[in-house]
Amino acid sequence: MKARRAVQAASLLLFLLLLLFARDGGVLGLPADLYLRLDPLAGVVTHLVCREIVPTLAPVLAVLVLTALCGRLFCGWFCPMGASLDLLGGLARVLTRRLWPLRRTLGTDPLPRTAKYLVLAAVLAAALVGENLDFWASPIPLVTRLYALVLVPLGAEGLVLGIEKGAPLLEAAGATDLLYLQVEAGHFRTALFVLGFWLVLLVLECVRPRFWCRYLCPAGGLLAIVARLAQVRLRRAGTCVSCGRCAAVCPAGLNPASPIQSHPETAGECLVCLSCVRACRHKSLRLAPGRVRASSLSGSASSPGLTLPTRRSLCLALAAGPVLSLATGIGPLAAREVPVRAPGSRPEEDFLARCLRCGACMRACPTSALQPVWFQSGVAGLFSPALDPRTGACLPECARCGEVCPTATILALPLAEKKWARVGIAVLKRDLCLAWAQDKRCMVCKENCPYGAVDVVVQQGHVAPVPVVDEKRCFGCGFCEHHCPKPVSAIVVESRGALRLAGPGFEKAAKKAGFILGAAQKKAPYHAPLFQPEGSGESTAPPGFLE
Amino acid sequence: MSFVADVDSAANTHPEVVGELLRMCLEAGASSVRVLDHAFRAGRSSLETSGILASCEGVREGLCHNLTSERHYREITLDGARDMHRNAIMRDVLEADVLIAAPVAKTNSSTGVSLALKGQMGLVLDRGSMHSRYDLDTAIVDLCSRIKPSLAVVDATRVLSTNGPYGPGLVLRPSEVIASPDPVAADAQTVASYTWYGRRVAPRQVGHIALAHARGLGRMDVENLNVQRLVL
Repeated sequence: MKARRAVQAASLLLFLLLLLFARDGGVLGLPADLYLRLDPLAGVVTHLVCREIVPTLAPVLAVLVLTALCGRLFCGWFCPMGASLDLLGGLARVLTRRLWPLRRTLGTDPLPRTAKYLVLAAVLAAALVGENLDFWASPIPLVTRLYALVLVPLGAEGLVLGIEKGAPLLEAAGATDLLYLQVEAGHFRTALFVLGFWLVLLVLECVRPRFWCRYLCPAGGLLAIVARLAQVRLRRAGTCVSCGRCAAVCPAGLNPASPIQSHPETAGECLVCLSCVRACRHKSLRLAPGRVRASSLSGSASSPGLTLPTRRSLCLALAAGPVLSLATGIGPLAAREVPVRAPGSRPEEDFLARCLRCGACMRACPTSALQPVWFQSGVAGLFSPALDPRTGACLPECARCGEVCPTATILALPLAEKKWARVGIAVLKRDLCLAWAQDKRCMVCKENCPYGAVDVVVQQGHVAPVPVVDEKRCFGCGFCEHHCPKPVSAIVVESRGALRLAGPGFEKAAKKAGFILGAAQKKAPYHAPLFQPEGSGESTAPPGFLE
Repeated sequence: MSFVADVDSAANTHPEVVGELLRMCLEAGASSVRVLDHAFRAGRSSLETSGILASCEGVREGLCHNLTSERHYREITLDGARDMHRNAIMRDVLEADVLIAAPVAKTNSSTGVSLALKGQMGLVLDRGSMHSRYDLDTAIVDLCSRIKPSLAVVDATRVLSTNGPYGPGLVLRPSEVIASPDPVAADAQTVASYTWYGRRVAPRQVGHIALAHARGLGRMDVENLNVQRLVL
């Protein structure tokens, strides 16, 4: 038990560190998306959805092999979702203990345990018709979203508050580095939804510990099926006096002392946490290898709720998956437009098929430019990442989003290649622009453009020099839109013209399309004649000067 | 040091000018000196590319910062303002005894040039409203009336003579530094000393300089001022 808690805590800590340092690279040489690549559901389903082997998800094989040997050890010991539920759920149970005394009684499942198989069936069936439903229920993406979009930003806000309040102390201590510490907290659009989702999970935690893992988690369901093969199982010795202590501590709500415990179906429910082994005063329980003979189980019929789902409910789930996911392509539920995606994003259909909505790219983006979308790209695109320049712009010297993407939805491109992966084109709204519409001298879009794609030109009929966009030079990074002083930006990045490929080759494709993407400073400098007003030869002052 | 651009591009003040100023401040007995800007991009990229961070760190560590978070700013009333009556200014600036403006000499397609006066926009949180809500020239003078630099040191070692403020543009190399306790005079002298887009321009042709002169912030009639030339 103690060993398990230590491993669980260490695992959760590692998960958190990987997430915290996602912007800076991995921790201990591990990839920032390590845990996401271990997600059993995503690791199995994603290949089916996109009809292609996704090599980055290979680590999931380790989890499947581990489960086939020892049961749901991953759920009990390593899963950060499980650890977070144990931690936050435990906290919630302590806080609500008086209001809501928990009775962990056996055999009173508020939901059939087979529900998770139905979720799994629906997700698998949708995957077979090429639709991605697993982002709704894959545990590691769910928990990544909680930390990346809600808890880490909250923590950062807290840190800023602490620095502000402690400023006099820090100053006295000479800790000026801390005083000027740059904390980019980041605010994410669907954070409230994610928080609400987790609050529901925590209420369910108060109903039964590990409610999610017992009844709903499709990855847990998948591992439960694999765990039927497990050779290492709980064994009961003859010394058992049926005192019930083991059942009282079991977080999965099982009765480890029951002979049924050895049954393959039950093995799938056990989280191998070993609480029962520690609780037993008669040393009757131990984890040991060896095959269970079917004859030893004869007569002990499977207990209700531990069986597989009924044929009818299974058929319904298998039908529901494709129907639900295909319905998202109809009418008002369908995509309205293609949002501006991260640089190196695959073509839209492939993108939505692969994307786990885990939020790793959003966490890794140093300017929080990648935001989850609501319904902009339809129900099927819910929570998928899109570039929102008003929040932040895409830095030319950064390609972290692709590096942390567990399914290569955003390709991991070296900077030399990423700089060609144009995400869209900035479009000037002349009716809103200070210079075009209001004759004000403003060129904030120009002075912020890292690619030299915006020029300010003197136009007849306009008092102030006006900005124009050179589309061949525009990357769509959004610095112009981010800094436009108008309350509603007068220059907006549109996804039109984005380069979306299923693999490397961005530079070649971009050059073929005639893009001239490079740092503004590398642009050929202006030479004499230095200033030539358009039209007449009469003397006009250079840009920004008065007559 | 607002722009991610190297020394040769002349989009930022020369790191040696900043470093030397810093050294002189410390030699003069300043107990606490800060080199600050509100750059376009959060983080240290422009500080590093400009070479200014390394130059400052070479003199004393932990002085050079890019302040983009709200917590470093305090909302104040700009007394005597004509247009922009409120904005948030860097706390460090508001608390400072002496403020030194150290801009590079360059063009700016909004305001003609960007020198000591226009450069003060790097000390406010919300620059956008100066473009959109207020008249830019008036707002610059409103700002400079409240946080007037005690000394302006215009770096004209290189002058970005076209396509400012970011460039790339034609870079002149006069190897000069123009300093004055009157920021308007320093700016006016800079405008009068070099060519802009290949022509001579009078200080009165720069809207905010003319306005600052008219409002008594300083003098742009450099021909009537005592200008000393030192050759080192």
